[in-house]
Amino acid sequence: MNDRPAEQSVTARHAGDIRRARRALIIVGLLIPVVLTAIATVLIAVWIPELPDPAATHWGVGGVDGFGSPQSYLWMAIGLGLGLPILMVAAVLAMGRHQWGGASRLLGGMALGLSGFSAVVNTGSVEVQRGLADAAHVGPVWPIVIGGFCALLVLTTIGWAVQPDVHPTLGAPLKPAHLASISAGERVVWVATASMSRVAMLVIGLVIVVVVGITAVMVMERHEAWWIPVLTLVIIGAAFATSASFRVRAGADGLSVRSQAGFPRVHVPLDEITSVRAVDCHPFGEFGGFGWRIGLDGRTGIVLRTGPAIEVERRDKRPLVVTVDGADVGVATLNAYLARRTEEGE
Amino acid sequence: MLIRLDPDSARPLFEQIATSVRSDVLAGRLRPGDRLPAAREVADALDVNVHTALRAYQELRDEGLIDLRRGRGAVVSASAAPLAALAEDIAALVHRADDLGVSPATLAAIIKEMTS
Repeated sequence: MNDRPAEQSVTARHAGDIRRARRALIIVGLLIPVVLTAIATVLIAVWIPELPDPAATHWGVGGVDGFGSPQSYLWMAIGLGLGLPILMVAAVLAMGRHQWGGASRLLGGMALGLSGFSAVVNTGSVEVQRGLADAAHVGPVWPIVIGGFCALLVLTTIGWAVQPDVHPTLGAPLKPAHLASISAGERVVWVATASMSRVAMLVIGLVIVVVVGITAVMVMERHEAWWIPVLTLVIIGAAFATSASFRVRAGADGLSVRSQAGFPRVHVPLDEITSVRAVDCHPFGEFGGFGWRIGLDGRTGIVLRTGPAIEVERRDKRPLVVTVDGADVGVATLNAYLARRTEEGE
Repeated sequence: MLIRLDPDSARPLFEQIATSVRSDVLAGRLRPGDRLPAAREVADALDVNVHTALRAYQELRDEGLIDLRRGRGAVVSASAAPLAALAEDIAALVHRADDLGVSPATLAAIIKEMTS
C-alpha cells in the first residue's frame, strides 16, 4: 500500500527534472544562438558597404575560388547560425517529452556550438575583406576556420555543462500477460513485427526525397562533388533497409530478432536467458536515439519506437531490449518456457 | 501472433494453427489489417511442414477471417472486425468484473456454466 505514493513522487520529481531540462535546452540551444546570430548579423550588415563586390565566399586549397554577393553572408549567418539550432532543439523537444538523457543534452550543447561556429566564420570572413578593392587579394581563411572550430568546441562544452544532468528513469514494467503453462510435447511460438513509427517513416522518406533531388541536380550539372550525395543516399538507403522493420520470434529456442532484410539479426537461446520482462521503453532517453543501439548502461537495444518492449537478461552478456507491440505476450511465452525448463530440471 | 500446437492431440495440426489465429483475433492480439507471418515462417517456427501452415491459412481464408493476396501475404480481413469488437467487449467485461472483485477465473467458470 505504501509504495504507490512513493512511486508517484518519483514520477513527479522526474517530470520536474524534465521540465527543468527542457527550459535549459531552450535557453542554451535557442535563446543564446538568437543573440549570437543577431550580433553577427548586425556586424555583417554594418561591414557590407566596405566589402568588394563580388566578395570572396569560398576558399579552396590554393586560396579564394568562389565569389558571390556580399549580402549572401547575411543569409549564411542566419541560416547556419539560427536554422540549424532551431531544427536540433525542435527535434529534441519533440522526442524528449517523457524521457531525457545524454543525447538531448549533447544536441543542446551542439546547437549553441554550431551557432558560435557560424557567427565566428561568417563575421570573420567578412571582416578580413573590409576595405579591399578586389576580393581575390584576400588573405588565407584558415585562422578564421580554426577560430570557428574553437568556438564550436568551447561553446558545445559550456552548453553541455550548464544544462542539468537528467538521467532516464528505468523503463516502467508493464502489466504481465498470462499464458497457460506449456505441457511436455506442446509447441508455442509468438511471432511479431517490430517497425518504426509512421512519423519516423515520413521524416526519413522526406530526407530521401531531398537527397535524391540534390543528387539529380548535381549529376545533371556535372558537379565535381556529385559522389557526396550519392554516397549519402547509399548509406541512408542501406541503414533504412536493414533497420526499418524486424521480425521478432519467441518460442522454444528462445528469442530471435531478424531484420526483414535478413541482416542484422540476433538470437538469444533459452539457456542464455536468466529473466525476461515487458517494459515501457523511451529509446531517445534511454539509448540516445532509435535503431540498433548500445545504451550507456551497456544494454543492447533494437529500439525503433517509443512503447512496449521485451527486456531479456542474458547469462553472459548485457541485457537486450526490443521494442515491439504485444511485448507482454512475447514475454509470457518466454516465461512459460523458462518455467517448463525449471520444472524439467527438478 | 501466438500459436499453440500439441502434436499429441487428436486434432489435426492445421486445425490447431487456425484455432490459434482465431483466438489471437478474439484476444485482440491481431486486428483487421494486420499482416500475418508468411506460411513458411510459421512452419519453420513450429517445426511443421509448410503445407500444414498453408492449409491453416486457406481454411481461415475460406471462413473470411483473412485475405490471401499474391505478394502481400496473409492479412487479417475487414470482416474480422466483429470478432475484434468482441475482443474489446471481453476486455471491458474482465475489467468491470475486476473492479467488482470478481476474478477472471470465476468469470470464466460462469461463462462455461452458461454454455453447458
